[in-house]
Amino acid sequence: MDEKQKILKMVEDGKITAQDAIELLDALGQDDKAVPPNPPKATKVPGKKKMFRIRIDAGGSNGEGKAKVNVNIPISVAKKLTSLTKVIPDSAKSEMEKEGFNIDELNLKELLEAIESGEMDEEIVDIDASSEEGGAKVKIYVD
Amino acid sequence: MLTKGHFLIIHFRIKRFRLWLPLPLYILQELLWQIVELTDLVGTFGNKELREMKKEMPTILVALDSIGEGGQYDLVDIDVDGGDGDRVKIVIKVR
Repeated sequence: MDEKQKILKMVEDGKITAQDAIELLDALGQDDKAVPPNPPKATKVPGKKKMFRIRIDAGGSNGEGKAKVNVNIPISVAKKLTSLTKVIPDSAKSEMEKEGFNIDELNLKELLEAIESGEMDEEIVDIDASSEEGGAKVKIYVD
Repeated sequence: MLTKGHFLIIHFRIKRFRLWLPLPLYILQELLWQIVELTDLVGTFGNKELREMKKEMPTILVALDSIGEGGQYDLVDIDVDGGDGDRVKIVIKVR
């Protein structure tokens, strides 16, 4: 039985007057306003959209054969594009399956929703395979 | 009006060749619709990927419509330096 029902039961039983019940209900209403039932997990900057960012930095240490790739996609746009996995050629899909990865089984939309809601860590991939001869750094994150 | 909506600014540089192309998003969307209509007419030549791409074209167009939701940002920035002045730079900005 919740607080409001308890108050109404007390009126019904004649333990308190209707006026007392109104005052108690008002007090409960103020308490409800003071403590929201589900406070937001994280403060969100108004107007700022979450971006899905991919950073790849590859190449030799001597400055030759260097490549830098930066891709930024708003999460809202990425969510709309999740169905595009269907256009990946079968040959590429079979290559991925050989490596033990089935892209058709991956629910990208749910994954992006989890990232957006903050359930998942904002840093999704952070690989540093750089060495003196070269290598690559790959970072995929959301901010 | 030409200034309607967002622009995709495509900046392409390979060696000494440079291209700077501001493309209004609604023109890009219109072009894609024309491609869909053209494939309705001539078919997809039995190409499965092209057929799937055609099916997904409405999704792409909706995504293009919302591409400006993130404000002004750089969608793609690729810089490849092969050495000996062999450099390719591709930047696509949303403005």
